[in-house]
Amino acid sequence: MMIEIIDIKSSLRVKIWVQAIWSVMASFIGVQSNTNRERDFEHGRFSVFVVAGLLMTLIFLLSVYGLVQLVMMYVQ
Amino acid sequence: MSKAFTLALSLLSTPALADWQLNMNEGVTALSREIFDLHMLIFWICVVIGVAVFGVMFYSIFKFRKSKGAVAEHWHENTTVEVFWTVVPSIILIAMAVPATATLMDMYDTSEADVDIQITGYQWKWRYQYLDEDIDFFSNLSTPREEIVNESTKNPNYLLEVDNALVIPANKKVRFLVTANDVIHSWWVPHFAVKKDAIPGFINEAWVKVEEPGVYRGQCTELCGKDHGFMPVVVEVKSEADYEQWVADQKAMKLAMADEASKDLSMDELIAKGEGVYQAACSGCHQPNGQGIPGAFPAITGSAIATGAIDAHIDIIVNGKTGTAMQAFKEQLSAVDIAAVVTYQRNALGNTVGDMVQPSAIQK
Ligand code: HEC
Ligand SMILES: [Cu+2]
Repeated sequence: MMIEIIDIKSSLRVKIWVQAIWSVMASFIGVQSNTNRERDFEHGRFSVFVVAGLLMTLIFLLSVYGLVQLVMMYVQ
Repeated sequence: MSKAFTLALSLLSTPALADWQLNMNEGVTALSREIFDLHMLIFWICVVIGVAVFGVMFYSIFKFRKSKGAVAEHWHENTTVEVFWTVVPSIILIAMAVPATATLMDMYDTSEADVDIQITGYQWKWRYQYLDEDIDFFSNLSTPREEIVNESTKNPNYLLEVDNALVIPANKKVRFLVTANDVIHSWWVPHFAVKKDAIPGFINEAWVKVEEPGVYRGQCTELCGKDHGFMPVVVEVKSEADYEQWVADQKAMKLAMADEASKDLSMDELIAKGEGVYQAACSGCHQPNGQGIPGAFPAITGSAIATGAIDAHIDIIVNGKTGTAMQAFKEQLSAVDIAAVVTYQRNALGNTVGDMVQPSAIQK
């Protein structure tokens, strides 16, 4: 019984993070559906979005850097 | 054949087409052709996208027009479509950046040059200094004044001709170090696909490797003041042997000039020579008749300096006057030229001072 509750709790936590990351990605390209926006504003937690935003920014920077390195390798 | 048809045919014939060339130049170097190919690749990508997007747009406007009873759909969003039209252009842009980066890296690779030339923009002329040789000269517009003021017919190289062209060897990598002395200029030769800003205090680099000897022309392409349109670029590409010969000739000429500077000239010789110097180097500002432009460039006729003590007159020409358009001419003109133009200004253009100065007395 105890174990089950923990399971539900942790899968819920994963879901919150996945949703936040999807929303951050959507904001990067400026496209978001109304349903998701309402869900984020009603149930989302501010701190989760801040962390997800910083994380995705870092990933974005690294992928730009990686892409440029890749192109330079291809070019030379 | 109808007249209109004949006309259309003649318009399509090659010479008429050549006059109407709208596309970018293919140029005469491997790099310029690479840039041209990149340009065409991007151009065709844009054409395809343009045709597709406008095709869909015009088709929809026509097919679903109101008069045919089309009724607008009322829906708010379609995330799939929106993501599609955001992500696809991003991918296209990134794909285009790959060949563009390749070309840019070639353009910026100025390493291992065979010849280094410093190019300095001046109002309104170019200075070329060969860093490995002791060669240093100015390149001035040589189009006759009569053509500029419509007193005679203009030649095909009107405003694209100079007294001393930049000379470079064919099939050698030539590096240009581009800078400026006064304001921002820009050194441009379309056939080389080289266009570099010349900025005071900065050195920008570019390079060429031209295969075919020939004469290539360009212009200053950064608005730089009154005579911006009168400081063309002419580059003479010579075969390697001819280039060596030219370098040797330049050096011999320099020796001859030093020799000449030690000789004394007569007043008439100085005035005759000085007129040429004045028209080439001074008349742009002080005007061919010496009247100047009130408020901008003082008259030489009756000027207190040009009719006063000769030392002050020489000084303003040799060292210029800081903070004004009157530049120092000590590097642009030889001692003979300066002695000649001083003597000319004192005894022509309405002045009759009666004295003269010898080249040997010019302290640079
Ligand atoms: C780019 C424009 C320009 C050119 C080219 C130029 N000058 Fe000047 N010159 C000036 C200006 C501006 C002054 C006034 C400086 C000042 O404010 O005192 C001046 C002043 C002079 C004066 C002093 C005149 C006076 O009464 O104050 C002499 C002499 C003179 N120039 C000679 C020459 C000679 C010789 C040449 C060619 C070798 C030449 N200048 C080329 C702009 C020019
Ligand atoms: Cu210029």
